[in-house]
Amino acid sequence: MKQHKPYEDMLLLFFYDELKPGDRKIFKRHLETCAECKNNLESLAILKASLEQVPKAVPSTALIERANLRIMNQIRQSQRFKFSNTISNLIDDIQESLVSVFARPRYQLIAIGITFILGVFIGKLWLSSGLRNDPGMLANFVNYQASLTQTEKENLQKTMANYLLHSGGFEIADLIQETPTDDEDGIVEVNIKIERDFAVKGGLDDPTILNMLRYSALHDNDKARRLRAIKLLSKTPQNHYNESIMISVVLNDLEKELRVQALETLASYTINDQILDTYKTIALRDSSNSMRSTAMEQLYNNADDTVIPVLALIASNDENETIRDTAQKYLDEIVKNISPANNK
Amino acid sequence: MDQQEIEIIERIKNGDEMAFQQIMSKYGERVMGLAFHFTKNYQDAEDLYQETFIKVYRNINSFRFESEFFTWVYRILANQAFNYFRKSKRMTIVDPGENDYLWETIPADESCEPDQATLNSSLREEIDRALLQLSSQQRVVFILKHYEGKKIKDIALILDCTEGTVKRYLFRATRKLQTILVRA
Repeated sequence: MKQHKPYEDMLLLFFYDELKPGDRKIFKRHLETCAECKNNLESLAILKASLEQVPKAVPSTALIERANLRIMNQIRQSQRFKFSNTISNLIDDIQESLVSVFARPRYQLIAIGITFILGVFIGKLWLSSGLRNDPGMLANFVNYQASLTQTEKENLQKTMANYLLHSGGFEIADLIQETPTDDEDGIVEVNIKIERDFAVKGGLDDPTILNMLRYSALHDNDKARRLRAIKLLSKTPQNHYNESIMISVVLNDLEKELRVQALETLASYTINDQILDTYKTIALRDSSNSMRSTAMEQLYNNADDTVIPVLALIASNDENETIRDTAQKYLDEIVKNISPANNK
Repeated sequence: MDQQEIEIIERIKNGDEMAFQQIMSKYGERVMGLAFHFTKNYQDAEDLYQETFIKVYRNINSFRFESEFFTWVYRILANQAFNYFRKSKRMTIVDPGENDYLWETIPADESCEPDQATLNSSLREEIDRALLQLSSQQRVVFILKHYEGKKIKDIALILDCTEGTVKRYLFRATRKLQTILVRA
């Protein structure tokens, strides 16, 4: 069958009388022995005869003259408005030559190639823009990278979580503490709500997890999750970031339960000026009397010269009598403790 | 290309409208006939004819006598035909349109009986329908070969492609039409 293929092409060239003399001889010899080619040639002859039988449509001289007249009128008209016509012709020419060049058989492959390259380029732009602006797409990209190991994937997820922390615009969907023991705090899983499911896992020593917990403590809409985040953070060592988070919660969170938890955490930290100032603010203006009392107790425990005016102010001016009494009590204690030293 | 034609073209390049009219009169019938083969519609054939010659006039300065003038005109016509195929999917077969009084229908065999003439007319419709099933490149190549009797190398020049490409289109077109018209 394969050996017959060249003869099939030769047959058509023979039929169209375009075969070279040498090939013509070869084909004629083949034709004497090949019934298939003979049949084919007969069928082509029928096709040719059919085409020749078709009546021919010939344009009349009147038609040609009319068309020529219209062409000349159009040309003259275009010469009258030369500038605008030149511009519009130029645009037409560019458009048509681009289209006709790429429609030519020779350039069709190039056109397909250019379309492919453009497609890849636009796709790349879209993908990179999507990855930058669409967290859902980024999450999918990170979650379904089959070529990555689990550790690589986790690292990538954490990178993305940090990216989200930086860019914002997401919510914490859940905070899960897996298998905590007496010695170990276990693994914390932070589920992030974007357009796709996305989760990061890690211990309480993991900076990404800590950042997610800090974000949750401040921005989470769900009170229970905020509380869980504060409790988890309270298990981590004191540092500047944790202090800031706790101070922010104590001063700003509307939920008393959360403020109490954050205040307890602050109380466990080594005192510094910032924490002391926070206690003073709480003692002066928190809406909860128990919080104010706890803050005054902390002021008493960490008393220095700056604490006395605050307690004195509360003791003399506060509307609440119990608070005034508490402040007075701590003030008296402080003064009593200072006096023997002064006497010495 | 004969000297007289070269002179006419030079005159067109210098803006001589009479010379252009001479060229249109010389090649008009062939261009219009071919335009009708491409469009199978009288009105569209006339439009294609006009677009082709306007383009010839506008681009005459880009003709550098590197090929036969008519090959160059054919190339413009073929490009316009490709545009036409792309823009318009219609190809009126049953009714070739108005203005048919401006076209003469010459039977292949003038001595044939009226019955035969009707048969031939329906054969034309069948062929036109079969041509519709070809790709635009196959159609143009087939028409240039069968109705214009152009050699493969000339078609390659007109379409600005290789002879191999023309052969491929021609073979495919022929086989397709053979299947549709003869074997069916």
